[in-house]
Amino acid sequence: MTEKTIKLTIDNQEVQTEAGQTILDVAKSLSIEIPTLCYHPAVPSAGACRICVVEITAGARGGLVPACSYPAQDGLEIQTDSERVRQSRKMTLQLLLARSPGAKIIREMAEQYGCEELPLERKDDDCIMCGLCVRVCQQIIGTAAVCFAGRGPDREVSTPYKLLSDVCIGCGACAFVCPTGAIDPAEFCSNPLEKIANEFNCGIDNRTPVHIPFPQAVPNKPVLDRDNCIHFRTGGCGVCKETCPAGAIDYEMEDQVVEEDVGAIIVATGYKLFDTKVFEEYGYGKYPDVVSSLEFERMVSASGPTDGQLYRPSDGKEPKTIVFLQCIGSRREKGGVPYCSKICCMYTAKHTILYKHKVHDGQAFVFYMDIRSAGKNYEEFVRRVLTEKMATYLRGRVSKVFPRNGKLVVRGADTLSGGQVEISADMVVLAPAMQPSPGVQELAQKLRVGYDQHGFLLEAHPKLRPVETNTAGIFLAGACHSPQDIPDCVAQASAAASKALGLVSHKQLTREPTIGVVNELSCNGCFECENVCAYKAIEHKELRDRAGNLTAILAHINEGLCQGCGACAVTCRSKSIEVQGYRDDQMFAEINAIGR
Amino acid sequence: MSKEQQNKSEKSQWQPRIVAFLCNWCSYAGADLAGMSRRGYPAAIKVIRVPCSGKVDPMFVLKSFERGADMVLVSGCHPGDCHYASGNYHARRKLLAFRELLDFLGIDQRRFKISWVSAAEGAKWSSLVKEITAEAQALGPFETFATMLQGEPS
Amino acid sequence: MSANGTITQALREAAAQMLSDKKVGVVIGYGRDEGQEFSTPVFLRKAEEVERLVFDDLCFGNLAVYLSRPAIRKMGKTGIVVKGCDLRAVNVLLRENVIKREDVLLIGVHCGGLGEPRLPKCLVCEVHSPTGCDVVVGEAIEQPEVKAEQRYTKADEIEAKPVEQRWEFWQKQLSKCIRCYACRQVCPLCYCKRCIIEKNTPQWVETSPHVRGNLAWHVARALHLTGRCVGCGECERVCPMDIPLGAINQKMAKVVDERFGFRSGFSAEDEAPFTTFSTEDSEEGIL
Repeated sequence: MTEKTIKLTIDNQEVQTEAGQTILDVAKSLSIEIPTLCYHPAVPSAGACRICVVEITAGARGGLVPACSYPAQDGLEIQTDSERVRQSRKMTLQLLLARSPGAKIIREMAEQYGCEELPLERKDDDCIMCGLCVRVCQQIIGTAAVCFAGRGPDREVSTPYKLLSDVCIGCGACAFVCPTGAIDPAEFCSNPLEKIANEFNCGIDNRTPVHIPFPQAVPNKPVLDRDNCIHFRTGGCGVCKETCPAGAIDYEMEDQVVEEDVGAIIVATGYKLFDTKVFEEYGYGKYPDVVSSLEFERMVSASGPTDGQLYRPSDGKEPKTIVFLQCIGSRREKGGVPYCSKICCMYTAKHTILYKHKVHDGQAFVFYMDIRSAGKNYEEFVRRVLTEKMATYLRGRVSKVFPRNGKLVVRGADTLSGGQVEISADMVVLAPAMQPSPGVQELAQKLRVGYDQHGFLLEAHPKLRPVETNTAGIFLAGACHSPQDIPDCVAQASAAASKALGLVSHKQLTREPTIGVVNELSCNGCFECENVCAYKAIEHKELRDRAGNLTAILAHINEGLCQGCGACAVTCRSKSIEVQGYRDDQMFAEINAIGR
Repeated sequence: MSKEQQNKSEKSQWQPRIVAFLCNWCSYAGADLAGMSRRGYPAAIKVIRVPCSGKVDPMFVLKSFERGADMVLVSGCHPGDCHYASGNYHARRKLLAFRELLDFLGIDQRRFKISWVSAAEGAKWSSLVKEITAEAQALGPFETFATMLQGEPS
Repeated sequence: MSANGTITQALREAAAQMLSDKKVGVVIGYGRDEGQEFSTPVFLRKAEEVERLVFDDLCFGNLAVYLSRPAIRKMGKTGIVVKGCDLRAVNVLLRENVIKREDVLLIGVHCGGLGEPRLPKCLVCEVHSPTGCDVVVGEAIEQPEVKAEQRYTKADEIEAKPVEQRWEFWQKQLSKCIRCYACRQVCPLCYCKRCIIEKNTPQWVETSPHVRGNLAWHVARALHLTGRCVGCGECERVCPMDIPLGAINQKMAKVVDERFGFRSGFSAEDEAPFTTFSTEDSEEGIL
């Protein structure tokens, strides 16, 4: 047995472990549960709340000790749930219950230990004076914005002089660790509070700086958001690094630019949703209960911010009437996009079913222009929604959404019955148009791939080469090419992948022979061609006589680099460069043939 | 039929001849798209495909006039979208300077057009050709040039 | 002694020195034999020949034309007498890799202008004193200010006419051309081993002296000189049919000046306007 290894017994289980741990740590490793309040694994323990007391029966001076701070020692024998321990915890909890009867965790624990209320003066203060917030602020964050103030009955957690603190950075660590939820940094912080919107959930909930980007992310690993991380901002904290059992956190790591030589590129930059705020009549961004279809999708997702519960964003009530508006921005020449976004009809039909699953007595309405359900089993799906009365479909457009008596009034046309309708709704879901991701045009210019006026990338041929581009070796997949649903994206991605593999699986590359050739007899060697060549294909070729003396330096075109654009041929005054396939005699023959 | 009426009917029957140099990647594909989308455009336009608008030597334009073109069009990718990165920028410099030279020599600038038509702009191509054909029709045959071509040797 | 007399004397001394030191294989300068109306080029290989050198206000020729000639280049390093205007042509030749700086010895002269009355180009000369030469002779001459609008008066004059009249004018002028190609021979920048006119597969330009080919020839020449022509005016001076060729080149010089802010031959490090581009170039007139 080495010096560092110790042996102790907890609840009659013998355990061998390393020195330097607390009893709580060792108990945890044995899956023995010890209740705690003022303990947090990231914060140095203080043994303040006395809930975690355990009884030492042998190996040291017997008695009750706090497990969170008492070091595990060789030969200790410990009982974590003896009668004495339970009595002690019960007494502590009874006192705490008198102080903080409103705290949920105290009530729950008190019930567990069978406490009755003592005839004491009730304090109705959720704060149990454990000081965890003070410790985290001082020792972890390093700002010391909160501290204990006052003595005896007046003791409380506050800021120095009880003033609004400009030292507080608003990180919210105090509120995060508080066992009873008693602390609200908004009450004392003069700086704006940090709330990091969870991008994947459309900002419906918040996330921490260290987070897994979304459920089932590949790789399914956390990332550290440097801009919001306390460590990067103040140099303090470092909790994640200390607590990570795998030691995977390295603050020194830098972003890297990795260069790879590749034979093929597949562009799959996806899409963004049309900014529906521009259509003021629908009130998106103005009324919280008007949401986009993607927000709705997250709200009803079991892994979403509400764990699949559907709430109205404004008051958290279940929406009993919901209206879906399709074609928001799509098929709208003025102010929107002229094309059909293709996927909205189908997902709206799905949303009505999801809604019915969540709210059985709810009523859904859908405003649509046309139902476009072309695709395998698509029409049948929509038909099911209609026949099973999942939603009432109204063919027409909505002119205005406005609030009235706590509801949203959706006023629109029902062109089939020929009248105007008004629906008093709890929630409105917009189906915005699909647009290419921002920045895709810059990317296209870098890749020399064409794009249309909407920014969708162009295929080489709409019928015969749908996933290739005009630039050899660059392929398209998904919504960067056009609005597509998941089956389409998968099909196109598979096609693009096999095209790319087809290209790189050969040992030799076949390429167009239409490249430039220099006539060395007439080349002047002025190298103006070199200046206009975008591919650096012009080389300097040295001509020598028999004695080896340099007689001239002429232009030579590297066959591998030349793309055959012909800029050099036009620049050459002595007409010493010809592009194969577009030779001057061929061009002139064409011009002559067209002439009269 | 009076002479005036005869002239008029001759003029309406007369079809201009427009030589168009189209870059392979944008304008040619745009014209192709116009066809594929069943968008019509006048047959007066005769298309010569070139790899890039930067491959169009100004002398090709002059040659086309020499061969009896009533109008010449050079069309390429929009600036920034050139398949060859910068060919259309070179073309823009050269061809606009060339157009000034033609003007200086007394050749009607309206007979030499430059345009940017992308591969997605089938509709633009169709309307552009309609427009310039109508303009060429209105300008009538390039008589001054034709007279020069038939002139006596010096 | 007149200013030009002093220059003549200094030129002879400098030439004799560099020839006897074998610093150069040949000195190209101006000479004037009995009965000649103006000074013509002389090629001096020996120091004792330097008495043939003169400098006066009838030294019209742009000697830079000889720098690209294979026969001259075989003679070794070339000493050449350059006026400020000729130096601009040398700069273009340097830029286009036709000559290397170490292969020429530039003997600059301060030139007050040529011809009596003075040539139009001399009236708006901005380079009375050459810069960057190996040797400079003569007294520095005060450089009068030349306004931008004075640069292209010849082109401006023709431009002011309506388009039909321009057509008439150029038809009349170009129909005179006899295709002697003197304009090409005398141009220091027409150094191509094979001129476009000699390329006959395909035939770029009709070679017979007919106005349609004449137009094509002069258009081709104007395009080839755009952004390069330094305005020495030799083409127009030597034209036996008195075609105002300088006006065409001046027009193109004006185009590159106005469009791209470029003027040719003021430095050997320039980028010629047709071998570069700016994304900000004018889009005017593009459909």
